[in-house]
Amino acid sequence: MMIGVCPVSPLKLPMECSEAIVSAARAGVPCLVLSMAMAGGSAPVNLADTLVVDKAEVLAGITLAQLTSPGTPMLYGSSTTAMDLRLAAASVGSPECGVISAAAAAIARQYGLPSYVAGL
Amino acid sequence: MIESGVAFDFGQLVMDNEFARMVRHVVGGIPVTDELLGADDIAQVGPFGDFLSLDSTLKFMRSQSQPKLIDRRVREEWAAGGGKDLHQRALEEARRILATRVPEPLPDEVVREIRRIVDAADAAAAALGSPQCI
Repeated sequence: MMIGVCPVSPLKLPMECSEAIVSAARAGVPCLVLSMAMAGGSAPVNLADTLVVDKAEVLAGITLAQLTSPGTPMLYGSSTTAMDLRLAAASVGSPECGVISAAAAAIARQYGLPSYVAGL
Repeated sequence: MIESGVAFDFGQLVMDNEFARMVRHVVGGIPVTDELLGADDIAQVGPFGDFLSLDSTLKFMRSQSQPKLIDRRVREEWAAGGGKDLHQRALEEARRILATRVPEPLPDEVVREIRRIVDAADAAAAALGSPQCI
């Protein structure tokens, strides 16, 4: 069993998410923190910048869990993609979603964390 | 090609063209240059803001993948617009291209050279008493 929370992009970890993370960490329940930023809407249009937002949000959640209870098992999550600016719609399944997911997984590996990304 | 290569599906060709464009986006990876990096924008917008009205969004919006045939709208809008599946839309695009495309003519010197080769072949054929080319 685990819990999953999604920050509100950009860069907001709402009270509900924070309380869930703290409760899970206290109970020793694994946490997934999954960013769902949209490049061009709730994140910068350029994907490198979007990854900065994505990563900051996930690391904020991870930090909160680790401050609450060091060693809480974490998953690094990303369902970040582009906002198709012609339609104002999240383009899940797009090339942007693919490259961002690949990059997020690579970043997670750098931290030694398992990842959970869109498109799998 | 389908049916062991007996039939060719123009709709499939148009779809493949779209897929290739999308794949090219992925293969291109994520560009990282000083011009593209905008940490200031992130700081300026701050938590819970939006990037829609930023100059950089306007400037770089066309770097996004922009499929012509893949429909990213929600189901209701897709249905209201006729509810055509991807292959139907691709076939219509193929028919449009076939109906309206005007092939670029060969350059004059190429036409002259081809004519010269054909005439030479005709002359050689005539010398042997064979039928002529057109």
